[in-house]
Amino acid sequence: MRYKSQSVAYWYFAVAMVLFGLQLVFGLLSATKYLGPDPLLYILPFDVTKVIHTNLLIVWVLTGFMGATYWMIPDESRTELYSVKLAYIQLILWTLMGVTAVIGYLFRYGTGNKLLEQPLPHKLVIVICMLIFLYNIGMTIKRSGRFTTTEGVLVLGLVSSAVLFFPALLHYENYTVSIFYRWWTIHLWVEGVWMMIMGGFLAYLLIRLSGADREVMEKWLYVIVGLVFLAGILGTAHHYYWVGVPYYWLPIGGFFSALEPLAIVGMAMYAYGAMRRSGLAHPNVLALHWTLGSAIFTLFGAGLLGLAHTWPSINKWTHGTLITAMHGHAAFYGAYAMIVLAMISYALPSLTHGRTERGSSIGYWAFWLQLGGMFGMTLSFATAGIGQVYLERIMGMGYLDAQLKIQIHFVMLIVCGTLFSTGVGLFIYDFFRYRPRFEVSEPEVTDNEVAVGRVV
Amino acid sequence: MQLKSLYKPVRILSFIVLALMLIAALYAFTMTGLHWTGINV
Repeated sequence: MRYKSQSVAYWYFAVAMVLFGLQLVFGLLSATKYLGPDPLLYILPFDVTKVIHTNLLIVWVLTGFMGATYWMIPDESRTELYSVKLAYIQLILWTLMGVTAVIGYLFRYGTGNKLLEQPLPHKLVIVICMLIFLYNIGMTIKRSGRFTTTEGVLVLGLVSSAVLFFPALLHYENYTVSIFYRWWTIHLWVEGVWMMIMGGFLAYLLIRLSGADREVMEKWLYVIVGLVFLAGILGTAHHYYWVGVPYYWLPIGGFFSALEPLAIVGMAMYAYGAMRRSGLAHPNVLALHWTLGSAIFTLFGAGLLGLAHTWPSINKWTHGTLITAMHGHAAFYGAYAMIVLAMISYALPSLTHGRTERGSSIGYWAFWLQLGGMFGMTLSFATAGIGQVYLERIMGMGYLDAQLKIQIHFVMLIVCGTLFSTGVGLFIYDFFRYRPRFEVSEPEVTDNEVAVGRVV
Repeated sequence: MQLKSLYKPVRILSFIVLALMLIAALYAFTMTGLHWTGINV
């Protein structure tokens, strides 16, 4: 840690870890309901557990993004954060918003708009938090006068995320109109601007972990930004296939959403290229596992499994089935969860006392158990989804009758989900095992050191 | 302003969350066992 204010990231990561654990509690409870009559049916019905599961995911990943940004920006701009106090105020507001929203969901207090269920007061707090966050980041960069392409792409992704939250503030009576604009937030977040955030973190980590050339990395970032604007934005149309919008969305969605994996392929290529060039000299091998793992799992979950059902002729049958859950779980985990865990793994040796740079064996167990568990969960959703599509959509069997026929796949889901939860549990345990450190551990960077190539 | 004193309470909270995860997993396995004969295997 070169700058004292970077330590604020620790608390963001700590909150993210706690929320990540809670997310899995509600995920396991949701999966259990597929097995048969559930004693918790009237206390925690499926719609409540699922809403909490997905909302906690968004909140913890965003908390991780914020923490990782507060870690990365001082490092890139070579200065202290503009205001540590503002960062803490933001974290307190953000955490209160998240916790009260979850409590509200338990009492059915929400808008019912999928993934954007937060009531209006909570949404306004999200806007306030984002404004504080962007102001703090913007002023830090402005004060330093140093603005790298890597942080430029990250900030562009963060600012765009904030702007794209505005359609979520509006309420529409017409369900089709509501869905039409809902994707302006959800799709353009996860398949658009969040890719820039992920690309920013990925480039930062690869430059530091593999010693890859910054110029090459940053050129790839431009490619990713270009593809996000081309394929990501028009690819929104693959959510418009069967929701009541005009027919012309079908070819637009089919063509441009098929291009979306290109950005992901680009990311995986530059991760692999960087790894080959570097010789992997950095001692923090655990962070490198998470970084490369994120690029590869994104290629699998978002790229391959997304492409598998994005064509209109296939999506006609798979839309809204467990095939969507298959793609969603693998894509979100690979692209966003893993990159946050990579940033945490990179920063943690500097943020805690007594932790070795290389990482502990618990850390590696956490990595492989999570990867194996999530791969198994994805296969469980895939097999259940294929069965569901044939029985329900093609043969015309009723929804509940089809669910009874595919129950066995949920046993596999629970086994693999437990394996995954064990990995996450180990990561959380490993995170809190050592006391946090708030002192600077490395000297500040001087221009002379940069000139002689001691820092990147 | 580093909130050092918060480490202990947050660590305790993390153990509570770990315990909840364990309970949720045990609950899921118990329900699997209870419903085993009704599951279309």
